[in-house]
Amino acid sequence: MSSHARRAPRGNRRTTLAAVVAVGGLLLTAGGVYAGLNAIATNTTPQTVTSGTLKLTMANNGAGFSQNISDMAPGDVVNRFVDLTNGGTLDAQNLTLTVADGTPTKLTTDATNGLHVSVLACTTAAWVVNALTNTATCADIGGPTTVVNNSALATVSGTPASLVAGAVPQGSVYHYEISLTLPNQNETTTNGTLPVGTIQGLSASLTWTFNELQRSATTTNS
Amino acid sequence: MSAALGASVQAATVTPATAAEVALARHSAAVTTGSATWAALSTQLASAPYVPSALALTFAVAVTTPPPQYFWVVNTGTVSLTRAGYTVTETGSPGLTATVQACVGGTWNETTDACSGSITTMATSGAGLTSSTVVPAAPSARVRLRAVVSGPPTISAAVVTTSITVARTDARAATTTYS
Repeated sequence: MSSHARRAPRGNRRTTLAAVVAVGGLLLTAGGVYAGLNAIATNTTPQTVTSGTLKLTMANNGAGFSQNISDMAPGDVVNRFVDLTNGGTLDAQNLTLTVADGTPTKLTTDATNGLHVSVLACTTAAWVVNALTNTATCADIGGPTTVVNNSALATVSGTPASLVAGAVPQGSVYHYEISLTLPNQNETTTNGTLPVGTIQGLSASLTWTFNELQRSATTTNS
Repeated sequence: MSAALGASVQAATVTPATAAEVALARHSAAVTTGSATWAALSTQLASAPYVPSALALTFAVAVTTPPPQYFWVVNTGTVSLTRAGYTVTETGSPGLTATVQACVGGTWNETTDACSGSITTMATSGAGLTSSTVVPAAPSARVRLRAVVSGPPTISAAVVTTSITVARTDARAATTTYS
């Protein structure tokens, strides 16, 4: 036998060592699993969790927003009526109104001579509207409540007008008179030619948008 | 070794909704809204399209009084009118007076220049703006008027110009509607 024992190549020695370490690790891990205890607690009846819904719907009372408005002259007032319902399962808050004009003109950009809006709320019941007699009545004792007072559309288009500043309970219905006014102003037309910068003969495509916000999020402990 | 084993159920802390998670409910409706026009003009045209300008009528040189010339006043606005302002000017023939007349309660016979009702002078040259209730009330309606000149024989043509102004207060009153 040679005095120089033949040694295994260095690569084989490393492979062998790695295998020994791996097997040892697996044994240790397996031993740990079998050695531990496990406890589980579950509810016998599955807990149902649902998410709420937030729905705001609008219904015309009379013509409402279903009819266009034509040929408003300065001083004219057109009153339309709508009912808003918070019909989801969640309470809401901060009901607001914004009005956007798809084709802005002086009607909606001029805060002085352009269109103005007022909103009156009837709390106890819907407005009773009679287009034939040209009347509308609110059953509230003391009359309806003015929630928006003669705001220019030029303003309401950028800053929402508040209709309900606080809570809007689930299921609540709000009865509104939307009063659109073209302010009094004098213009003189000469020989059929409208004056420069006139308020006459303009058209606005108004989108009336009512917004409500979800109630504040809650944390419950029970 | 005595190992105490315990099992517990711990409620996780609820993270409040952030602003980005707040829900909005929205309902929109679109309505087209238009403003009216109040306007009138004088014209010799029988139908639209009309030229929006003052009407200038030329009366030729004449030894005797030239015959009247008839024209329409048309409501070219979209609302009814209750009155309008008329201004008549005469140029080219100093000394002549021009007037605009209406046949109230009747019609003109433009062949004989007679009126079956009563002739009403609406405006006279030199008098400035005169407001009159003789107007075409309804949109697109029209009334027949005439211009006449009077005075000494002319040696040059006279031009009579009729101008009409309609102020907001000349149109229907403001309305309030519930519907």
